[in-house]
Amino acid sequence: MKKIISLILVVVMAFSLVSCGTPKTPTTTPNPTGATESPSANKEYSLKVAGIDGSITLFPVYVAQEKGWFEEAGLNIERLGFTNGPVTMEAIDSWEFSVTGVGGVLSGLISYDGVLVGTVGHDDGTQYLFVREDTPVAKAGKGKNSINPEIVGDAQSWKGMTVNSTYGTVLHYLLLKTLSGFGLTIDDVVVNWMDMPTANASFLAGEGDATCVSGEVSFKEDKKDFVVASNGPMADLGLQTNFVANPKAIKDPETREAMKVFLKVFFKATDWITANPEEAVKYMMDWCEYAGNTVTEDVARLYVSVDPYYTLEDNYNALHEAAHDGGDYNRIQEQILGVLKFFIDTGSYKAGDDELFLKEGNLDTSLIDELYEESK
Amino acid sequence: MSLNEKDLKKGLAEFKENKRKETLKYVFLSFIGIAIFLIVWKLIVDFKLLNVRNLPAPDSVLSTLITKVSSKNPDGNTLGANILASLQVSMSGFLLAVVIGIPLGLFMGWFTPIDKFVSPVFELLRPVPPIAWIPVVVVFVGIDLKAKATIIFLSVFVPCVINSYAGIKLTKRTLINVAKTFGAGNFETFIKVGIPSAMPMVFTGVRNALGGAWSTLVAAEMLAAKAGLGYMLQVGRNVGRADVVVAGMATIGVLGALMALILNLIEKRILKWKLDS
Repeated sequence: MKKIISLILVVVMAFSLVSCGTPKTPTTTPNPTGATESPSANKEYSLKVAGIDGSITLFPVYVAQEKGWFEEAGLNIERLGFTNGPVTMEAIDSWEFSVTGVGGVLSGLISYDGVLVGTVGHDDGTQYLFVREDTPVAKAGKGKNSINPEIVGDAQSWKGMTVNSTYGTVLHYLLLKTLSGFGLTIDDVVVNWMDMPTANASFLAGEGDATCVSGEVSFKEDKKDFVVASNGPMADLGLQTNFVANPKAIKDPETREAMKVFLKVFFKATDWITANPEEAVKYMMDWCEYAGNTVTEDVARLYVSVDPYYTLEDNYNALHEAAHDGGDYNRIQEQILGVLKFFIDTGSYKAGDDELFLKEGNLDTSLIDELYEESK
Repeated sequence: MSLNEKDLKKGLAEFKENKRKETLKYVFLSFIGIAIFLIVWKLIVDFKLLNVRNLPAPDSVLSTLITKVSSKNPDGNTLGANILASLQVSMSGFLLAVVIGIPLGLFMGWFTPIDKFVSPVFELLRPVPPIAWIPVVVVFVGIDLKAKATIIFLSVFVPCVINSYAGIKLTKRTLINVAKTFGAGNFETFIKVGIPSAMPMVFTGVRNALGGAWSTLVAAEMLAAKAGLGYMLQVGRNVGRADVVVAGMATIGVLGALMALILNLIEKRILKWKLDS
């Protein structure tokens, strides 16, 4: 009797697992007039979108969700939050579309066959390198860095400094580039590698002579007693955040259509944010609160404005602008390659990863191209 | 028929030979088990039998390990430097937990007032996962070796206390009564009867604690690190180097197994009386 009951339970559980794994099929709303409409009209789609909660890159998704724009467009969004870009890419099989910084783009395209689709916006404005006031770097003053004389310190004062930073991300690149302007490398400083929130918390608790932080924490009141040694604009990082698609998802016609709808709404949200900065501030405060960070109105205002978003037209132009170095890639790829070469030189990435980054299938401009043509 | 010395020696030699053959058989079986595991892993990768994105083959992991012996890429340290750093962190936390946790568990298990005093706080802290302590540790302890060892300590302290507590609680009443009959006081009975009786369970706790120390290592080195196997694993993650990640995991596994073997040898020595009986 016990064996029969066990067998029944196993069969029931097996059927439950199968039914849980069955993907939902999008529903279609029939047109009462019978007139012919475009395939995406009245169709409902779903899309899993990954990014970093509280980030400026995922902020337009939050705004669009709050305003109900995705629902209006027939798109059911599931937003997945991760701690940084590389970790987002590691989980590529759990999402279909992502917004990510250079760390995520590099690991995504090199190791996970991610597809670069377009650009979200600039990624310089919130990357900061703070030092303590009583350090030799702060006392050395400005004017000795070849990249920008506004960067604080000199070669001698930076040697041996303890810095809190995140490995393989835009903050790592900020540190490398700042040091390179003094003729120094990463081996000239002592780096405590950790995730950004821990870097921030431990610096505030007295650990480390310097720290790299990004996002709204760069502008918080708790940084007022520290010296800005360098930041994205000073170090001329020239980076953007980008859209990266899951390679299997972008090949599926239904999901690809969902991505188009998503991008359409995303650009609508970024256009709204750009046109209504004061209203966007309130949304930004709520978005930061959601991510566990309470910010003032002033900090939110700064955060909203510091990294402009790319419009659809900006995206189209950037994706079709030839590389300045004459390489067989576009300007966006060229800028990311510049970062990758820095990382290859320091041993973080391997020789040959630049070829993997540019391999066929890693770039798909068709979504942006189609949207751009439709918008004309 | 009377047994003579020759027969006894022959019998003993036969017994030892059978024991040796049995031991060799089990060692051979263990190697077969590992070999099958590696072959299945290789087949899964080569023939893409499962959807295992970026799972490196065992030969690729071995190649990475060999390269890491002399290469500092991608994390800035050789394998040896990472191993030493991790040993320092894990053993600091482990030994601290053993030195504090075992006596505490023994005292709690034997002396009721100590048990009633410590238990409520211990039961509150016990379910908290080590990783949840990171923000508190950062603020109050910092991010250096002390902090990482604290994370390890918080993870392995619990099995040391619990197993020592349970071990001494299981001391046979008969043995306690015999000690009392011979005039031993409570403390003398604790030292001469309770503690030896608890030692098998104490060693079980230490074995669990050792496993916990290694498994918490990655979380501890997430706190902040410049070197270590957990750090190497995190860097591999951040640059999409699955071979580095798996190499780190394999090294942690091998080191953990070696430590467990050493612990077994120490246990056999200290608990010789138990094993002989």
